[in-house]
Amino acid sequence: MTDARATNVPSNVRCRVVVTGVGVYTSIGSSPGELLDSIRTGHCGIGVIQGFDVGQLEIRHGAEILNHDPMAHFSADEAASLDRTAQFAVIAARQAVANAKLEIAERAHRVGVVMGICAGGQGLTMSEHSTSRPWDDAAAANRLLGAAHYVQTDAVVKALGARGPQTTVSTACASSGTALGHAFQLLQTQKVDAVIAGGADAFTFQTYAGFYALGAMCASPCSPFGDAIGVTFGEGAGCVVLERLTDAIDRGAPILGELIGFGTTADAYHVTSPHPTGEGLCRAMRLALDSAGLERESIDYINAHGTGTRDNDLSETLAIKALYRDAKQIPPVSSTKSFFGHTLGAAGALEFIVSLLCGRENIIPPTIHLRAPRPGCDLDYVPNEARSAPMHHFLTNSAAFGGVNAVLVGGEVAPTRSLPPLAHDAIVITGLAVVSAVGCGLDEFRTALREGRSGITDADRPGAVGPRAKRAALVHDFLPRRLVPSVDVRRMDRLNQYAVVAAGLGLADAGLDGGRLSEERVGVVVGLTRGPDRKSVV
Amino acid sequence: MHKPGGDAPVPPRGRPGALGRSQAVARYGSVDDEYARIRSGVALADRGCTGKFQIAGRGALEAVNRLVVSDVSRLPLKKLLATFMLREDASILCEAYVANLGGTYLVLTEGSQPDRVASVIEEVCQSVRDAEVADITAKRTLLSLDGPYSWELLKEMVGTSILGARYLDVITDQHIGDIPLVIYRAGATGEFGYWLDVAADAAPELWQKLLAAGMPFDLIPYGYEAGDLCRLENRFINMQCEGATARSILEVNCRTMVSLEKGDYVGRAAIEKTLERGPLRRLIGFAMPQGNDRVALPGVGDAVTRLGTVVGQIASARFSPTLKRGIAVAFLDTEYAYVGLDFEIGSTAGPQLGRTVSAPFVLNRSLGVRFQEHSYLDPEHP
Repeated sequence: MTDARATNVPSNVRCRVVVTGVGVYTSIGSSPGELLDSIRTGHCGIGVIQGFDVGQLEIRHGAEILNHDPMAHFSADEAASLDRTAQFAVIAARQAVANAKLEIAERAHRVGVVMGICAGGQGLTMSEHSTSRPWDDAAAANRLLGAAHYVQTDAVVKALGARGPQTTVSTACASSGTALGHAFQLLQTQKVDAVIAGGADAFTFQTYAGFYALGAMCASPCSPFGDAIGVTFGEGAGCVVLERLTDAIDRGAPILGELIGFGTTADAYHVTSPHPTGEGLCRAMRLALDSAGLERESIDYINAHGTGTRDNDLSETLAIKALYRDAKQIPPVSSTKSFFGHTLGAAGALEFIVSLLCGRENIIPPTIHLRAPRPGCDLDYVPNEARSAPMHHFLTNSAAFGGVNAVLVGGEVAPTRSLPPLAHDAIVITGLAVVSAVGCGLDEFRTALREGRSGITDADRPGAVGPRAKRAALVHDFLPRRLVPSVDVRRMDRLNQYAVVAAGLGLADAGLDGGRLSEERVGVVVGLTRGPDRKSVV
Repeated sequence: MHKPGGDAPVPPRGRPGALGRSQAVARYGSVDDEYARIRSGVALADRGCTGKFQIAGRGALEAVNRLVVSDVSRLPLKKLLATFMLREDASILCEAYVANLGGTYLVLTEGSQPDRVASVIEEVCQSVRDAEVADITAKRTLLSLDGPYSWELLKEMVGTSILGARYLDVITDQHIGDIPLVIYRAGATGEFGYWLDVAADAAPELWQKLLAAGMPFDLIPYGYEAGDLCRLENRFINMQCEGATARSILEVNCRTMVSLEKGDYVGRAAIEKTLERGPLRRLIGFAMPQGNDRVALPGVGDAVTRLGTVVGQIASARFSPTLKRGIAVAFLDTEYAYVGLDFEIGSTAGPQLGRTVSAPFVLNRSLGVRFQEHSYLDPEHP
């Protein structure tokens, strides 16, 4: 790979998005240079977990950042107020901004922040719940509020002083892949001039315990696509500074590579399992290539989601094979999770950064710990040793719980590149739906508004524990199947039920229910203040 | 190579079906062999006797909801719903599967009175505004591919996309060779099952293609005797046995299928009446003492007694090769219909003991088979 300035990129190319800074904080390196050296030399960050006692447990490996010292990065007050995930996010974001030589203060309102968070501060809150009650005092309440996903993004925004759009993306393990994609779209549509985008997640006992219970973890350091089945958890953060190519050139920014395309899809298949044939991931790869204006043959390397689980590795292999059906060759595929574990919310961003850094050095990163191939996994997974080969373009895959797939296309900054035009048709609202304290369904809601009826009533939820708000606007008489007959609300908490029913009503109001629109062309965006935490809130 | 429609005795069952036959096939060869293939490999059946009715128009949903006991408005697009059609007295007219094809519904029926089923569907649709019904039974044929490795054979024929199909999915726009078909991920054996819905005139060709492609899988065709055995082992309702003799759907433990939230439908009034006092009988499973004694099986209608009192009647009984014992279902007076009780069952070979057990009788092999891990063709990963 080469820098753009050295290749004299024409300045009239618009809406190409480049990476001008990267920041990383991982178990194999706290700077891009350290990370690259570890990949090059095969240095693994996975070891016996130190953060909590695993002496009696079967799964003892994790990729922790063992030498993390908050006081090396934050004041005492900051360190006390930021949870571990937020600390990682801020460290990586600061590093990326410094790396990009970006002076945010000069144009703070045109700088956005998009962070992907999966578990966030969940671990902290859940452990706190076991010993204290959030209404006991202000500190306890703050701890509860500090568990929300947006808190980490908020911490980055405050630390950097960015005043443009601030978005937290939480699409499980695809969070930061989706975050980079969203940032890419913000820049292409000229909403901002620069975006700090990335993801972070800290290793917590709660996350570990959840996956332990699922039986999805590997007893040894993970070996994606290999004979040892299962995932190894990690922690870390990765951030990039993204700018339009022309802006980056104008300000003389270091240009490290290009974010060329993005594609995202949903499997709509299962809560934890990917679609068994990787159908959704394959579509996401196709969409990403389409948005980049590239053919599959242009891809020199695929950084796989490659968690190490049986279901993921096989379905991802099938997805890649489907993408390359009848092709002469399939590019090398590897999983860098074998180095730094599965970093959940940070995974997509870190893996994009690894691919970018390796591409600049013409190194294909390996899958380490790969002793023997797994049945059905028969691609070139670059076993154990980095390989020297030119890398002009790469794909990074994220395939998350809930069936979310996010694929990024990155690569060198070619002198010319023809990106497909963005379609910007006028956007109109065709359907509305309401689930509220003054009515479920539009008719009821309209009537309430017309009559000036308030939904605020005495709050008295049977079985509630602790002090109660005297008045609250609670949803009453919510009967999901009366509103959307085909909805199956089994195993959904109330929050999910509200979202699903509102979406169903909205589609019906738009006349798009009953399969009138291809499922693949229907997207879903749900805004939440807090995630579903029925079990963590008393 | 087997051909559909063998020489085995074939009791009447169903309406004229596919592949040029008017009666279902009891067996193609040995029932034990057919059963073994269903349970451990792949087997192919002709479900040509299944009734097929397409209901379209603005009133289609209302019409289908009047026909079946379940609420079809809850059925997502491209999904099947397993349900029943009743008579007015709430006894079961037929087993039914409803497919939501987006504005149009396909109703697949199976029962001992196919002509009566057809006329009920016709009558109901005529009574609903804008509901048009087409009886496509003779135009379409259902073939059934069953067994723990049926997905593997089908994958070779239609591609890997079939592996993602979930139970009761409707997969449209499929092809085997140049034969277009719709696949329903369904079955009545408890093992992985796929119903292939194909034009009747293309069915013989598809049958032959499946037999040819199935050779590496040791595929054989199976008749309804082996199928019924698998049904019983899973406690699925058999419309030729317990389904035909149940006085009410509530006797066969299908309360969860019954909707009281939708409008009127055939049998609703009788169901509501029965619910007021509860059913007088319930279907329950019996396991006989272990032993390879097929002769001592109870017969349909044999009395079930407890301390000398007749408390029920056998509705169906067979010998389970998997369990190596006789199994049966019987309608018992409700107060006796509990698991873990011993009863005396009369049979021609003399009375014998039977213990009530919970469903299903056996755990299907398919529960332990995943395409990610297993393959019929790879002996190292069976």
